[in-house]
Amino acid sequence: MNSLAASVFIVEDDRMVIETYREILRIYGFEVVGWSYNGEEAIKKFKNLNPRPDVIIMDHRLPMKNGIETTKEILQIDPHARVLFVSADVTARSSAIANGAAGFLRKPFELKEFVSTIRVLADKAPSPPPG
Amino acid sequence: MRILLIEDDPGDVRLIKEMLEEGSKRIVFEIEPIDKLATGLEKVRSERYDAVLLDIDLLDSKGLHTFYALHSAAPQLPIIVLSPFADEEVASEVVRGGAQDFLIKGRIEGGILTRGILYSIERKQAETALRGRAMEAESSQFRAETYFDFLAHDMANIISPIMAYAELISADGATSPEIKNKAAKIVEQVRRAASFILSLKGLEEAERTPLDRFATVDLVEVFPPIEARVRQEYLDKHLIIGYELPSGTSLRVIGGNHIRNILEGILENAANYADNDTVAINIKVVPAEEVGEKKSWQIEIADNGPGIPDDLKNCFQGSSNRPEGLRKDLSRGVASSLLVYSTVVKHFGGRIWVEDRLPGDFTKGAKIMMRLPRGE
Repeated sequence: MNSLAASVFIVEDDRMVIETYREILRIYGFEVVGWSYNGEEAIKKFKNLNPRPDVIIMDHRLPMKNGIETTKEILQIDPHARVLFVSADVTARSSAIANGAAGFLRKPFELKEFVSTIRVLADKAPSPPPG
Repeated sequence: MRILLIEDDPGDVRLIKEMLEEGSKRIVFEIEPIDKLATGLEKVRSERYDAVLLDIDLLDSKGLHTFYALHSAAPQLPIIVLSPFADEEVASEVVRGGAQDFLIKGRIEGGILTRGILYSIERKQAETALRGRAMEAESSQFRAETYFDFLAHDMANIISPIMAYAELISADGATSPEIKNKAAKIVEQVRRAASFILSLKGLEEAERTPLDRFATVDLVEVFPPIEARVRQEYLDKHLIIGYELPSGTSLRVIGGNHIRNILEGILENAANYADNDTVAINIKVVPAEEVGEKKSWQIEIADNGPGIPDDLKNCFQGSSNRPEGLRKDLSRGVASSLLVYSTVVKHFGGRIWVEDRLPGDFTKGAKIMMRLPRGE
């Protein structure tokens, strides 16, 4: 794995969406350091991640604990964590931002917008895409 | 018919019993007299009565409290309040609070009391049925909202990977131009699905929100970012967008983000449905102050696209919230998104209709007309 690659942790309950994120992130040179299908598990995994991921992709509607609650707890563990919401639920946008999310993308997202947002948030230059 | 009589004056108890016996030969009243509220509360909780006659001034409870205590213990039971005084204030208070009737002891006789009880029972039954129907309607509306919310949310999750993979195919340097072209078509269609879901979601939200909760928006500030976004999305088309706006005035209208989305949707439709590479769109805003209408701004968005045939134009006639001509068994093409916009705009007290860019020849392009009430 490219040690310069920006690292991403994914919190999302839809398996196909996780797979899509992993595929995009792999192609565009990011490193996916883990993923969780629910908020509880995400918090547990996040605590043990060393080093911390550069960006956390966060869904909003998750089992047991929603994305905003999960984000709050993650920010308590690490106030520098950068959480990018990617959700179909646009009504969660303002609350997500108010609770510390660094960005919000609406599903379905545009590929370019998705990649460039993660790049900006990661503040690191991942290896360029192939082709 | 079983009546619970809560009355602490033995003389009144005797009198009421006699009245009910002589009041109706047809109906037999079985009267159970008790003299305390506390006993009454126990009784209505454990036994079944058709109605209660309640003197609100009892040994263990006085005034309105007596009524409210009993009513909350048995809200389904018709209660007729008896009082020695013609106190209008108390009378209207208990009736507002759910009593079926308020009778003054000195002014009743058998017939009045009997009818009072029977009507009270009927009114209560009607009330209960009405409440049942209202609850049913509310719950079916809630179910519809919930299903729709699931549909909109989960569809976005389902189409996200489709769109992303199609874009990945397009972006891959190894993809042939022909495959790229096909992938672009997938992306275009998925975008269309996403924007359709969003506009329906917008409609559903707008209809649930009271009018005074909507923000206002200045059209002067709305057009430039919309234009930028549409240009970004249709890089393959040559867009010529012209404006004729009244200068030096704010063009504030009610509707906030909904209006922004609708205007963006109309511009997108114009760019999307155009069959020529050069898309000419002209946006004009004029004041509209017709008699009987609120002060409005009229927005006219004309394009050189394929136009909208007359039968589809008619979908937008009529003032009801269910657009006339909205038949589920007929395809409406571009009009289906306009129908959604039209319903939202009606909610704000405005309207949408369609004219030809060149009157009489719809094939030369459409002119979408909107009237939106001015905002403060």
